[in-house]
Amino acid sequence: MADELILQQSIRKPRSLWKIAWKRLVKNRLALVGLSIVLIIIFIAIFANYIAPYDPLKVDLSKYLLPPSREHLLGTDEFGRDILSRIIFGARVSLQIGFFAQVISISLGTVLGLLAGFYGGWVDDVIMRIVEILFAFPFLLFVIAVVAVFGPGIQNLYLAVALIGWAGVSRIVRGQVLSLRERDFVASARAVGAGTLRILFKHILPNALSPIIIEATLGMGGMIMLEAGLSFLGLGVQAPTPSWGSMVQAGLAYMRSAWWYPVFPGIVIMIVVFGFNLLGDGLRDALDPRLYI
Amino acid sequence: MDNNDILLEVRNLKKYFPIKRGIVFSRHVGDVKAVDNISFNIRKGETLGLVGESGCGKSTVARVIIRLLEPTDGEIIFEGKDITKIPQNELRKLRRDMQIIFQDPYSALNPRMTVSEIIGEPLEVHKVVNNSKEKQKRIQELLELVGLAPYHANRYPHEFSGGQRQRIGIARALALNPKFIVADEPTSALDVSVRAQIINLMQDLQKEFGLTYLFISHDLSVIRHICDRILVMYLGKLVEIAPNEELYSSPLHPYTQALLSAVPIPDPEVLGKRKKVILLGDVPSPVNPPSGCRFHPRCPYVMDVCSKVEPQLKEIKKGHFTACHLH
Repeated sequence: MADELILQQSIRKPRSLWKIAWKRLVKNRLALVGLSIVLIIIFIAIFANYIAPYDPLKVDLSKYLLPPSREHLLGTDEFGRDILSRIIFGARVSLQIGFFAQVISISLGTVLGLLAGFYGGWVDDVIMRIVEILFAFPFLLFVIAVVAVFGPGIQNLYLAVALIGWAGVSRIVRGQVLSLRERDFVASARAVGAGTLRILFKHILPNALSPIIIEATLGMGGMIMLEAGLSFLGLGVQAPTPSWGSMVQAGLAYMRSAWWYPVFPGIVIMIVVFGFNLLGDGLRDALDPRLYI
Repeated sequence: MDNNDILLEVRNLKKYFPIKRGIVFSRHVGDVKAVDNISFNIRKGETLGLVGESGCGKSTVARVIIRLLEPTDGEIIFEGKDITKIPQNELRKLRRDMQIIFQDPYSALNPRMTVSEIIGEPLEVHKVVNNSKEKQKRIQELLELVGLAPYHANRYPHEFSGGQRQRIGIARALALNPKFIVADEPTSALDVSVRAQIINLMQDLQKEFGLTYLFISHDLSVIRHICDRILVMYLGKLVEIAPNEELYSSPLHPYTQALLSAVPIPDPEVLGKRKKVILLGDVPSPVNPPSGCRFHPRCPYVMDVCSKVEPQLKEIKKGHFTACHLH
């Protein structure tokens, strides 16, 4: 029995913490549902050209507000455009905004959080005071102000979101760094003579990555909601580019006569945000730092 | 004592941690006097023990000597050079000669790195190997040296037991062939059965490579087993320095006597005859240490002079120093 165990151990492949987390994630059904939704929507966004049954921008006034039918599965809008096709192409816009806004705010937040946590002192003071100012500022108001100054459009939306989105991330990263830099493995790297960059990027960052990944995933849902909200307010994506938020907004005027117009884009927003949140929750469980020794 | 024998000398070392209040304009309201004016030396090839209660400044001494913390004042002379004042690039070179083994083997290894990355790091940082083949060879050598198998190299720290992890930590410390190793309670976090293995391993390595150890522990039986000379520390000060046998047979300072009387003896007859010194109260705060002798509030032989005059280390017998007004 003992011999067998030793034999098994010697054959067993080394398992990194990432591999263990992945195993734990795939065991979690809800997380898998989330992951599938996310993967499907990414697939749809990439291959929108091939999947969409119609051109999302093709106006055909003879098909004014048709209800769902075999021909137009989710009906048509006031210009006779196919709603399904517009939702499919809208995935591109929503994911793009979510993705780029998250990439910018996560990278900015990670770097600033690392600096604040590692160096402490006035660097920490300055960065954290800025974070607090940003937190005190109403998010939507800030985005509206940026859009009012620079005009609506996708680029300015990135700008607005990136300017403010890093604050939360940097606070999370800073907290991680504060606890990690006191750990003995960091002291031992220093005792060995490792430089600051090496300590930051080989010792501290890899150990702070789990909460960053969780934040990135959970934040995606928030970003998609934000895009939808801003487009709904007319501050985001401009017509005729299809986006889920602007579709809900335009459809609202026809709510009584053509319920399918605002409802279907709304449902899609809900499902996708739900998917990202499920995945984020699953990742949180899978990457639980308490299970790391 | 021949001066050439001395590897490391500590002179009047102080380490104060400032206490600050206030958010924007912080003011200095006091100091935690973790290490307060201590001096000692370590000879080549010896194992110097450092004992004391938790919080008496043992680990701070270790970290200051290894230059993980800046000393507040004092000199640390390693091979004739004061290392508290050397520039950054020389400090880097110095890192090859002195290494540290940590107490908690769970915190001492980066959980995201494989064993070969962990042991290979010092080799990479100091560019002592020319290519990855040489590096792998050296890693295998080191693993074998500390009693681990070659296939362990690609594993991660969480796949090992506490004792095995401590072996990995020792392998990392040995990677650059240091002359001097500070062992900061290397066995305190381990099971008793594993403790002996690690101690034996450290002794074997000392014989093989002529290492010098500063061995910090609160475990007097471990200290007795491994050390040549012993320093006893109380609240940031050294209270007694003595050769191993001498300290255990005739401790001079009341604090040392109290520490030793707390060690269990597996013979009830001897145990019954032994004079018991039981300390009252807790260690006072190192922010406001007691006046005079720092031990006087807890000392069973306290005299008037103790609270007024601070006793200095005096050589009572050859090589046996103590700081107590009784002697």
